[in-house]
Parts: sequence; structure tokens; C-alpha cells
Amino acid sequence: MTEAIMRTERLNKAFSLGETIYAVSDVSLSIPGGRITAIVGPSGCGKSTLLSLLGGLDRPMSGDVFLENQSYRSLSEDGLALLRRRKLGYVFQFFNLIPHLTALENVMLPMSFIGVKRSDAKARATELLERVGLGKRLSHVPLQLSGGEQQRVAIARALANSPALILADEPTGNLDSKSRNDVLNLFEKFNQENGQTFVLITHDDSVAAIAHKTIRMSDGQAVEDQ
Amino acid sequence: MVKLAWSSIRHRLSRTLITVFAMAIAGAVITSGMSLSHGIAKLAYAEYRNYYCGDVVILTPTYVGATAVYDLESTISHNVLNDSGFNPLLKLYPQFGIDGYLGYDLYPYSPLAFEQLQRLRDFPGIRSVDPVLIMPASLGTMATSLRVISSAVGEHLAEGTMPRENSGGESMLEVVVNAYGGPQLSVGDVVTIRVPVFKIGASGVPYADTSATVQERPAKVVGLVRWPTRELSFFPPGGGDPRYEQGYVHSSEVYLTELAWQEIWQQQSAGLTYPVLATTLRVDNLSTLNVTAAELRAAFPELAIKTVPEVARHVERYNILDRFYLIPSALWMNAEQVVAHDYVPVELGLTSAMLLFANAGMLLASQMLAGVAERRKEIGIIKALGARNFEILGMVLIEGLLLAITGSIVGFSLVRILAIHRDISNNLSWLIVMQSSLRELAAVVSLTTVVALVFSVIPAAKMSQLTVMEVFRND
Repeated sequence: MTEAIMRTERLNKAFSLGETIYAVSDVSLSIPGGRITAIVGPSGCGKSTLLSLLGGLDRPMSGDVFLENQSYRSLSEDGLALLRRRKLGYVFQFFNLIPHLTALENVMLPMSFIGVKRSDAKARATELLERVGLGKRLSHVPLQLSGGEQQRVAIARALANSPALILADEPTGNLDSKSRNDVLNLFEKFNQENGQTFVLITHDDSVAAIAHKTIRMSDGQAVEDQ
Repeated sequence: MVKLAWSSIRHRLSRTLITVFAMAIAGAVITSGMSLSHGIAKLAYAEYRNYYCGDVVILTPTYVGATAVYDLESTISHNVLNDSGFNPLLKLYPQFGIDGYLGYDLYPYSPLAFEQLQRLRDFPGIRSVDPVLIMPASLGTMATSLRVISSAVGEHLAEGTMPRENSGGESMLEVVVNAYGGPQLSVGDVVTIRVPVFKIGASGVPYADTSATVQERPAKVVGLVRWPTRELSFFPPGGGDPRYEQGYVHSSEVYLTELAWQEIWQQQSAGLTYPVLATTLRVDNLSTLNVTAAELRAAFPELAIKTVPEVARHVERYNILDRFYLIPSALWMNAEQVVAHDYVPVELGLTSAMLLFANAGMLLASQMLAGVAERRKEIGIIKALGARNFEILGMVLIEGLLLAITGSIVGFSLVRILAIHRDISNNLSWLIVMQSSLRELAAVVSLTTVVALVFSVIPAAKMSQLTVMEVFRND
């Protein structure tokens, strides 16, 4: 049994849209370290809200998240920001690269937050981009890259600070099938070669197929498959 | 963050260019104003130093603003200057408008005591003392004053020679007169100088006794002196191309040797102490001029002590240099017009520059505020990656600073280039006068920094307060 790197305790998050709707309701789960975990469910079931809570991007109404036994609730906004930069990586459905930075600069950006020397950051970013197959696209800005390439830059950026956990929100949702396979292969590759922990949010069962563990969500509630 | 800010500046080129351009205009205007101000101060300093032939000017307070009325007995009274709008005298000595001063109604100066002069001569750091020895007289029907010739006269002698030391006495008195002002005299002319009898007033101040016999002395004009002042540019009455003329002090003073002056004074005053009205000093070390002046002020609190740079700054500030220009009527028909034309509205320029800066600052703020919506996603991403609020704030402020400082440096450079190309100054000499230096650059950049910070704070605060979820949800 792999030790949990992250766990949640009775997470609740509701939105008031005329009536109160629980996007995440009483969710307690654990994310095993060094594994790929998929959180699957239909659109609107609360997957992305759960991810934002796991990623420290949003605060729950009640409950808590623990990353390597660090409680999110005890952290200030700045504390959460520091935790995000050091221990978490993100891959978004729409890539979310900074449009005026090159691929290399986008990957170097998270390293600048933790004070990595510029030359070291450049070397690390170059190595990561080479590993995701973009060694020849270092100086391209996002507009000059295809969707699949942009997502690979985003994966390299997520890995830049060697985070404890990478959260990916519908990482293949905006890609063609070839790019989708490339991205999934990268997740598997980094998981196998580096023992990197991934949490993939998806509504696509074929993406979930690469996961070691699947958590199904329905109406804000989570059920762990195994 | 600096990298991000710089990248954003390059990426948003049109915004960058518009903002830099606006800042450049403001920077150029303020640089022009300051350079002009600096240039005039330097010019005024040079001219005053030339005029006074000294580094420090010492005046007995009541001499300032003295008018040429010497021939009536006076009484002491308490005078308060009225501020009728623009009164340079009041600006130079504001206390005259509040406490007033003791002076002679129609003989408005009190002489420097002889022992004061001696103390000045002995004062540490003083190289030489050049007292203004002056007594009222008349040349024909015109009121004039007799002054002991100084080295300055020799420096500005336009024609002829200096009087011989032994002139007067047995031989004909030799004098130098001003080339501008008074009767139009030429070298070789013989004139009659009339000197009244001097008596001592109630407080020891001499006055002219008009009831006593006036001494008449024939004198030969051996030289003409011209006191140059600032070069004037003007449009001649009746139109035509602008003209540039050297300005000269218009004065009816008559200069003679100290020996001759003393002899006349002794005869007419029955041995009174010289009524020294003012004196100029040369200091040993110009670099410590201000220190020496401060020491002088402490030692002579009763005297008005001004360094030449102070006088120059005052001239630059209130543009009173032109008070010294009594333009020769033969040369310029309308002195008022000339003086008005030469007036440099430095303050107006600086005020305009401030308004332009505020305008440019508002443009910067509006450009950046418009960018808040455009950059929501970017800020959201950066915050998701772990940037803290103050880091976002810093990034936006740096961006504003880079834009503004770049603009101000562009504006400064433009002015410098313009000031170098003097040919452009085809109708005004102000470009030639402009002196821009690191001081002006530092001032412009500092002002820009303040403007940029003030006007970037709101957009920066707005951006830094965005939350990741707020951004992503709206996307």
C-alpha cells in the first residue's frame, strides 16, 4: 500500500446560485504518492472545484486538505502561495501559458519564484523541454506552438520545481487524439521514471485508464474505486 | 518579476509607445524648463560676476533700491515697502515689507562704516575688498555720481584709457564715463563736474547741503566704459527678422582715481568718513564660497550679504536681471517690448510640465487599468504558480516605472539634442541658454518615478487583488 501524499477530510464547497448548490460535498479521499490518480465524472459533477481545493487555489467551506501532512486551513494566503510554488504543479485544459513569454521563459517562471539562479533555471527548463520533445522550440512563444506542444510546455512548467504533486485539469480536453496520446505518455513517463505523483481530472474514461487509482465523482460526492 | 514586466512592455507595443510618448513630452517640457532655469542661472552668475568683479556683494540694507536723489536734506523715517504686485526688492528683502526699515526719505542709504570695511579686509578667506566709493554730483544739468575707479572698469573699458593716478590736483581731472547713459560724451571731451557740499546727518549719515557752494571741476573724458549684461533677442519695432544685441548697463556714473575722489570728498565734506555704500569681495577659495558667506553673515548681521550665485539665482527666479537693462534709446525704440520679449516664463513652463506629467500619469494609469481586464488570465496563472499579492503589485509598479522612466529619458535626450543644435533657435536664444546636466536628468527621473508610482498604484492594487478562482471561473 503506497503512503498517501495528500488527503482530504470532509471537504465541502457550495455556491449560491439562487439556491445553495454543493459542488463538493463531504469529500474525504487520499492521493497515493508516486502514483497517477484520476478523478473522473461527468461535466458539472464538481471535479474542477475539487481540484481547486486540492491545489490551494480556493478555500473550502469546511473540511481540510493535507499535503505531506501540511494542513491548508492553517495557512494564510501567502502561505498557500508559497505552498503552491514549492509543492504543486498545474496543468490546465487551456494550457494557460503566458502569451508573451517563450516556451523556455514559461518553464523558467516558477523557478524564479523560489529563487533558482537564472543559469540553473535555464538549464533545468531546457532539459525539461527536451524531455517533452520540444528541445527545438525553446524560443517559440505560445502562439507559434500547436495545442499539443503548448500542453507539453505546460507539463514541463508544472515539473519545473519538482513538486510533490501535479494537478492536471482536463489536460487532454482540448487536444486531438495524437496530442492526447503524447500528453498521456508524458504523464506515464514522468511517473515511471521520476516517481512523480499526478492527479488527473477528466471526464474521459480512456484518460483514466492510465491511472493507478480512480476516484469517481457524482453530484459533488466522491467514491474511490480502488 | 522584472523580466515579466519587461516582457509585458515589449508585448504590448502600442500601449508602450503611447505611454512612453506621453511621458517623453512631459519629460521634455520639464527638462526644457529646468535646463532653461539652470542656463539662465549660470548665465546670470557669469554676468553678475563679470559686472561686480567679485564673488560676494555686500550692501547696507537701505542702499538696495536707492534712487538717484542726492541733493536734498533728508530725515530718518520708518519705511515699509508696499507689495504692489511685482516688487523684486521685496522679494529680495521680504522683511522690508513686514518690519520695514529705517532709512532716509530722500537719501535712502546708510554708509558702510569704515571700521566695517577694515574688518572685512581682515576677515579670513577674503582675498580682496573692493568698496564702492560714491558721491553725488552733476554733469552739466544731469545728476550723476562720482565713483572710485575699480579694476572692473579696466576690464570693461570700451574706448580710451584709464585716468592717470596723478590726475586732479595741479593737472586736469581725468575721468571715465559710461558709454551708455548720461550725456553722450566722447573721449577727449572736457566737461564740468559739479559737486555739492556734504554734511553729516542726525545719525552720522552724510547728506548733500544744497544751500552751500557747489564745487565746479573741469574734467577730461579719457575713456568710455561699457558694462555688458545678458544678450537680448528681440523683434525690432516695425517688424523684420529678430535681432540679437548685447545689453549694457545704462549709467551716468563718472569714474575717477581714488586719489582724486578722496581729494574732492575731503574738500566737500570737511573730512567726513567715506560713505561707502556697498562693496564687493573676492574670496580665496570659490569652492567654499557658501561657507565664507555664512561666516560673514554671522560676523556682520547688520549687512545684507549675498553671494553672486545667490544673486544669480534670485535673478533667475524673478527675472529681475532685466531691471539692469536700461536699453539705450538710440538702439531700441521700445524697451518695454524688448524686456517683455526677453522675459522667460520659467515658472509657467514648470507648471505646464507638472500638468503634463499629471496628464501622462493619468494616461499611464488608464492604459494599465485597461490592461487589468486584458491581463486577468495572466495574473491568474502567475498567482496559481505561486506569486504572492505583493509580488504582483511589484511587477505592475515596475512596469509603470519602466514605461515612465524610459519616456522621461527619451524626453530629456530630445531636449539635449535640440539644445545642441543651436541653429534651430532662429527667433529666440533660449535654446542656447539651456543647460541640461545630470542634475536635470536626476530631477526628471525622480519626478517621473513619483508620478509613475502614484499612477500605477491603483491598477497594481487591482491586479494584485485578483484571486485565481475569480479569474479562472470567469474564463
